Amino acid sequence: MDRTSPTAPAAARGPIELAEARLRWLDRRQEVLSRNIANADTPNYRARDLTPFAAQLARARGADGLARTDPRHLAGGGNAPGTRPDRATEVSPDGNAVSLDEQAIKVADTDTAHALAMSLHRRWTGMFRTALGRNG
Amino acid sequence: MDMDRALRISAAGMAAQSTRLRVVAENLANRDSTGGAPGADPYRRRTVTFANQLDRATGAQTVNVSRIGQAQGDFPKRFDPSHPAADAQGYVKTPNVDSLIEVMDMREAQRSYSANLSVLEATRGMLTRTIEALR
Repeated sequence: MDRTSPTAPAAARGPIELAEARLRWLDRRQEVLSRNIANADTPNYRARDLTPFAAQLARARGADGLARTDPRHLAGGGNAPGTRPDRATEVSPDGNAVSLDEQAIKVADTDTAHALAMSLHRRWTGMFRTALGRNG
Repeated sequence: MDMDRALRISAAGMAAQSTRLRVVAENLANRDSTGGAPGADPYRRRTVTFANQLDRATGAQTVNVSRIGQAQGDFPKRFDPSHPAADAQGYVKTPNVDSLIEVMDMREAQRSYSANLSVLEATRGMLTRTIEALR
């Protein structure tokens, strides 16, 4: 949105890169969600959310947007990590459109996804550890 | 790191909600604070307004209390000629505090506070898991 952060997964290759990109995305999402919940009583505040991970991943892999065939080409705005306004389910009289229960579900979702990505990362590095004979 | 920012935002949200609770307590405590001189105005109900704010140190969009204002509205009058604040007709102006509204405000502040607290706990869980990956 306002700053370029490393959220955009840079063409994740292996499972570790993929897990790391996912973790970065989840980190960022947790920040956005906590901002929504902190502003649950701020007048005229609209809840925001990140663009889905799959969409960001596809964009980083160049599934859409312009291909850069020369290093001097400008990077398009294509892989900027975007937040977008949530669709408003209910708007209170003061113009606030944060639904606490919806945000709570998203926080729980982010938490679960984080645990999954983290254990994927652990398992994969565990395989290297096994190969090195230093298991335990 | 984004999770630090998430923790900070939740903490700011909790601080803002506690300010709101403080104002509710002020309103309820002053429910019977009338004026001292004849015809004087009693306590006026106070209100809290939140605003989205950029924390320049971390670049996080936090929340804070932008204004503690005073509620408009007429003061209800009560007939009590012996009261020191009674006007010529014997009426005393009482504060425009409605305890039902205050209790509702209190519940909402409580709900928002615990929502922020749950996010804080979820974020802390994520952080702990990340730290455990180092082991």
